[in-house]
Amino acid sequence: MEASLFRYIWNETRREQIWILFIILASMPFSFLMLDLPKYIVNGPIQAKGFETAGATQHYFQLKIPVPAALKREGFVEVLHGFDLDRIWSLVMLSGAFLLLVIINGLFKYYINFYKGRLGERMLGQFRYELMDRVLRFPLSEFRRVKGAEVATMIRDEVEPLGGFIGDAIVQPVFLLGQIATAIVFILVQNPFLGLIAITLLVVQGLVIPRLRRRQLILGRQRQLESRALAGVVGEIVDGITAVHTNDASDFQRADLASRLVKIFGIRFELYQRKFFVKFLNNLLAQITPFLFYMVGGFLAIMGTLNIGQLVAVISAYKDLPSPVKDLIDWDQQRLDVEVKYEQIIEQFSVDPAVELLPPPDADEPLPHLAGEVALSNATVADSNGTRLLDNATFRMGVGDVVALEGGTSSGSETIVEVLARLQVLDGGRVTIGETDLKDLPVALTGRRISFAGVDTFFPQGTIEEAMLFGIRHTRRPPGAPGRYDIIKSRGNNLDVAADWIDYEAAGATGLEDLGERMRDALVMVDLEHDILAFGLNRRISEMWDEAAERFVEARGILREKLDAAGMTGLVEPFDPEHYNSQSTIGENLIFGTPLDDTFSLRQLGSNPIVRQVLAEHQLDAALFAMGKDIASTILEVFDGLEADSPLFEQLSLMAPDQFADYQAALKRVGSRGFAKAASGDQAVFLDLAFGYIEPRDRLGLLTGDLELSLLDARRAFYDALGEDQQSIAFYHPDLYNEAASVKDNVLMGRVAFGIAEAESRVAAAVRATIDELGLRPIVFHTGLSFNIGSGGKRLGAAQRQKLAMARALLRRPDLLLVHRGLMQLDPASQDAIVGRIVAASRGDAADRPGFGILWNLENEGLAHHFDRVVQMENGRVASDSAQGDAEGVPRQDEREPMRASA
Amino acid sequence: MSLLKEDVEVLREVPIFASVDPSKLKLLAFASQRLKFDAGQVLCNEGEVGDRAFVIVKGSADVFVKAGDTEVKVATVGRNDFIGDMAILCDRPRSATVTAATSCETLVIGKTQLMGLLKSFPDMGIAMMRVLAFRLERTNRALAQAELDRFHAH
Repeated sequence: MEASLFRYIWNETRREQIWILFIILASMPFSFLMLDLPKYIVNGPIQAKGFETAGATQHYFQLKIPVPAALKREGFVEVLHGFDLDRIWSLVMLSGAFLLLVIINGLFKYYINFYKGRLGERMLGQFRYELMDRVLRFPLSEFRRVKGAEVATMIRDEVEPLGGFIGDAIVQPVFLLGQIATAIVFILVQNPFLGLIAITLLVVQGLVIPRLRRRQLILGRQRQLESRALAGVVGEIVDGITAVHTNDASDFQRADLASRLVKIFGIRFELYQRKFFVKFLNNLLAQITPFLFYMVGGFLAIMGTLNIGQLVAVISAYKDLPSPVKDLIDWDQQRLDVEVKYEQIIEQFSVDPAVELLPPPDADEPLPHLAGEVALSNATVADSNGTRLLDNATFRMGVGDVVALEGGTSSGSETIVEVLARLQVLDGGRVTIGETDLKDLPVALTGRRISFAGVDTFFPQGTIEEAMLFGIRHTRRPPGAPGRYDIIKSRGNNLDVAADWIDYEAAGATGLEDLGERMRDALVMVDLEHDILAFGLNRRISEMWDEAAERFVEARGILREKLDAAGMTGLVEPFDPEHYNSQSTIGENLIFGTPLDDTFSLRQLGSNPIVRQVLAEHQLDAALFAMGKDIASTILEVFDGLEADSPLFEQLSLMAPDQFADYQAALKRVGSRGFAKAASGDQAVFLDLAFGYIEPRDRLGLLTGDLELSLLDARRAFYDALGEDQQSIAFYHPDLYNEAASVKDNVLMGRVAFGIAEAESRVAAAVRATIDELGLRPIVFHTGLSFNIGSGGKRLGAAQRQKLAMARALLRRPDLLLVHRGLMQLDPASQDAIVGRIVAASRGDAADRPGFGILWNLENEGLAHHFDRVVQMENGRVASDSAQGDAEGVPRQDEREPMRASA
Repeated sequence: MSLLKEDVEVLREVPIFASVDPSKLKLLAFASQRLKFDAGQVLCNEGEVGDRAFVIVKGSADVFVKAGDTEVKVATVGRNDFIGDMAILCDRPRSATVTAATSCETLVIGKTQLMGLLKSFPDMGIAMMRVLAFRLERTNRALAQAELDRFHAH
């Protein structure tokens, strides 16, 4: 990148800068005229010069072009004759002209500012893009010294002032100097002596003040550093507060903080002193000049060498001088500041000259497949401590071979895989694929033809589907319309994020339809299908279509038959409008549906007027209120004296430990009073508690058969009482799909019973079987794919993340699959099954999909039997190789061993 | 009688909890789960790491121990028997497989719950320790008696 800020600005924005300079030049005559005009107003109509006699007029707007006397006798050609005006009309006309000039100058300023602002913002965007583009092109070795948070703040915050300055960089000084020059020239023309006074004072201002301010700038920077350090210390104390307490270090921290604050105070105080002194000096100089002008100019006017109009014009011209001078000084300081910042940023984003940046991928070329042999010859890799991870190692395999590596953490088995995945760079020796050195292969080729799955996984925030597509987002069809992103002018101005990036061919698909199939294949291969179906079952399908909805309703009957046939009838209690559902809460039994908004939210049902009215009609309010009180007092009594984080609370679903105090207070308020005498808020509190009660789960024996019957009556009455509000609840209906409920709830149309061993998993299996029978699996699977895995896949388990990363590596059929313990988080049985499937797929399958090679650094030795060849690594070298027997590596290894020990 | 009260009664009859304060048993019952097993369903598998223990409320279960390739039935357990206590108290893998012989109702006590209870109420731990110590002493005495018998037999 350009080392100097100004060169960078000039290279990138030359055209715009020249244009704006041209505009500024064009604006100068108008500002000169605006300075000049007051002279004519004062001298002419106001002082009556040229209007000495009553009725005298002046001739205005005569436009004459001088021509040689030979052509025309008068010596000019009159283009406009103009017109005569008397004194008052002259005043009106001249003042009007002045107003017009004010507007014209204002418009010039507006245009210039607007243009500069846009230029600055555009360059800011481009600069940020360039920096990030660079980060994307850093070789991986560079990332050891790059901190993510630092890069993010630099690109977000520290670059910001640069953007503002870029627009001003060249234009502002020219503009201001132009303004100053216009004013000075004007004053000089009126009177050289006054001009000299103005120039002298300007020079003083221009020399002394920046010098004073330079110190201010240094102080400013010190203040910034100290504040940053203070912020760091504060953050550290908060993060390490436990250590501070356990070491009784708080007093030292206080002392440290105080010393820092004193230091910052000192800097700030000096800063203020200087700032206000500079202000004072500026004001003084600004006021001394008018003093001299009044004094000297007045004297000259009295002497008759200067007329009043000129004096007024000079004084008003001078009024415009100090502010551009001040702005110019500000600009200069900003320049110093920004130049330092720019250098710092560039330094952060530049790499060692010996390190080459990766070339940007070139997506437009059709990519060849990898073929031939992968070979490491005398490869050496050392870590930052100088330990040799690979020590002169030699290893060969065909691109299509299926090879396993074995060895411990520092054996080199991991390093071979990482070198081939380009995550490690060789310190000596050579790696070739086919005939080409790995270094010389474009990233676009290795990043698409080789897949890698390691121990750690990375997924950007998004859905499972997006995580899978991350590996095949390579094409950009159709290329973004040119010019759409012309704000960001550098490479990639036609990279359009909205284009269709998916490389269907890489996944062996032709379009979205069969890509779904491929995705399923990959996910089945890594045993993730059930998980995704489970995600799908627990989600709502937001846009359900009639045909599918009918099938899901049909599924209810089939599930019931399956459960009955397997003797699992009692495992699911269906929602029946005519019966109380003992496995769901009292509240759910009452409203008998899924609330669509907060009006009937199950958490605050007790304060809903319709609910209250229905309860009152069925004499349920007092009963439920008493029940709520019973629940509260029992729980408070039983759990009394337990810390809030005790694991004993885990099974308690009726209330949270942090609500105990509220319930305690409510119980105290209500005392022995009945429902009717309690405050409305307290009524709601205990009603809500009762609404959450499920007899088989909470086992307090509070729900009687009579109460169930009354609740059933209340359910019907509630439905009728709703009227218009029926829209805000999706009711349970045995024959209708409930769009507000999850797929699973729709198939169950009931609740899984509490207190039966393995009920959930047995029912889930039955639901899956039902879904399959009706051919609904693809819909559920597709719904599961839209499960949001969270940033970095945090919402998945560690094993699920590794499986997903493996599926992603497999979705794009690679030529070579590299794995470094990519299934480490799985249990051995699953590892074995998945490795078996992947190796089988690597030999090509029935669907005419080509095979691929595998180099797998094994999770455990029990997996080796799947592979054609097993290579044992030890101390950074091949120790044994099943393909070569013990012929080559091992004897020499033994010979070398004593030497190694003595060395 | 609510199920919960029944649970407390059941817990009181488990020897290890015999001298524990009833209010703590109520808490334990609250924090535990009722679980029904059909005949043939497995409560726990030998060798697995266990995080819960079972008190049988109704029905009976068979206890199997692996001997080579076959499983040998070593005991049948019934009401008030406490299964899997060693797994949650000593962090050991399950020493036997337990299968419901009839339809079984159990009270499931989670390891974290029991430990939490012991941590919050050390008295309960002391009460349980006394029972365990008595049991150990009895075992020791039985062992010594057996040695003595063997000595006399010679």
